[in-house]
Amino acid sequence: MIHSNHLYWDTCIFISYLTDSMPHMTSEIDTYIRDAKKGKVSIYYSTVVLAEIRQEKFKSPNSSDISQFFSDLGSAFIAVDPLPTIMAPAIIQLTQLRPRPLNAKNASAFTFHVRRYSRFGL
Amino acid sequence: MSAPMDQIEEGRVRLRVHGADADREEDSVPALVFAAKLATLVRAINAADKAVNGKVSHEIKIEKLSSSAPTALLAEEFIPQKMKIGYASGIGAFADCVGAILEGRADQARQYGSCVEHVYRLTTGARKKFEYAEVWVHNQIFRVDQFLSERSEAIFRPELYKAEVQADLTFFSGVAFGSFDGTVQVADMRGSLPAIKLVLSAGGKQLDCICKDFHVEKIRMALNRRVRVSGKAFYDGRSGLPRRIEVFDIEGTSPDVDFTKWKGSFEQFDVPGWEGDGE
Repeated sequence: MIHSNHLYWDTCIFISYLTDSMPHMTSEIDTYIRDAKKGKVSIYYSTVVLAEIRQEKFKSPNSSDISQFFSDLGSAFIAVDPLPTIMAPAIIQLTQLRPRPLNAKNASAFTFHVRRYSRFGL
Repeated sequence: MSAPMDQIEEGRVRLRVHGADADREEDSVPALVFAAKLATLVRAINAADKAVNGKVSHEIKIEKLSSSAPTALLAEEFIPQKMKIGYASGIGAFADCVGAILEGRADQARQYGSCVEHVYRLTTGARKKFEYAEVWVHNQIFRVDQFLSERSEAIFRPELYKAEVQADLTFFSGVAFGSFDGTVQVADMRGSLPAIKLVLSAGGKQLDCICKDFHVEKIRMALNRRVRVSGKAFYDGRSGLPRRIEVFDIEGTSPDVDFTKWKGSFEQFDVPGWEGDGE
């Protein structure tokens, strides 16, 4: 387990949890979520995640539940917009990265964005 | 309760100055300060008028004065001149100039001649001799404060800003729409443009925000709560964070959410590819 008070979660982490596709990880994720609720850790995610969660895969037939889901996502974690200052130089970093599997590729861009946030105090 | 933004007739401009003492129930502004700001506003309009019409083509007249919150309503009156038709509004040109200043469009702002300098002078004394002033033009409202001071000075005296900006060219300068997660602290509810401070959840830095078209009650509800603020963010190139946000939405968050209830709530899926986006 990584010991940090500030965590960045990419879409792949949310997907694995929401689809329960990696049972060996869910208990650890549960722990982080509970710690975030207690204020022990801060978990950040890019607002791009909102576009990558496929709503048509939501199991509940009740359409209001998906609104509640997104509302809870916004409350439980801290969304970070890809700000212009972060996005503009991101391509420089991306072109220096070696090709990676799909999930990690998506993660790399936004992990980099969060690293850039360290200049602003993150 | 503060009303949503007023709209005034075209060809008119309204100035309201708020006193430096935020604790007083009524605005108390030294007469000299109000008179100086009023004169500077007229000079700024005349400069813009001259820039767009070749010469000052309107006379600015006082239409109404009120003292509860020191306010002046001014109207421009066309000065009849031979051999020329089709004059542009000086007040409209002034508003265009201020809009260009706020968004950092320096070349456009400079087209209005010495108007930029007068706008800068309009801001001097903000937070000292007066807290801030509001200038209404038709359906727009501008806050005359430290932010406008910085923006106009960056155009009026660019040499003061160039060295600092060039020290780190990677920072974005311009306007972008965005949202920011944070806790609302400190609110100045006076006037039509209440101001709030947003302490960011990511990093704890403080952002200056002004709220347009907001009822005070909505801001009060957000005070000391974690919210997500969306708006027009102004970046000045000197920091990665915006210098100011014009807020158009404040969305509250729920502190007691149990996100674990959503575990397994989706069928299997992968991250959608972005490759074909826009085709």
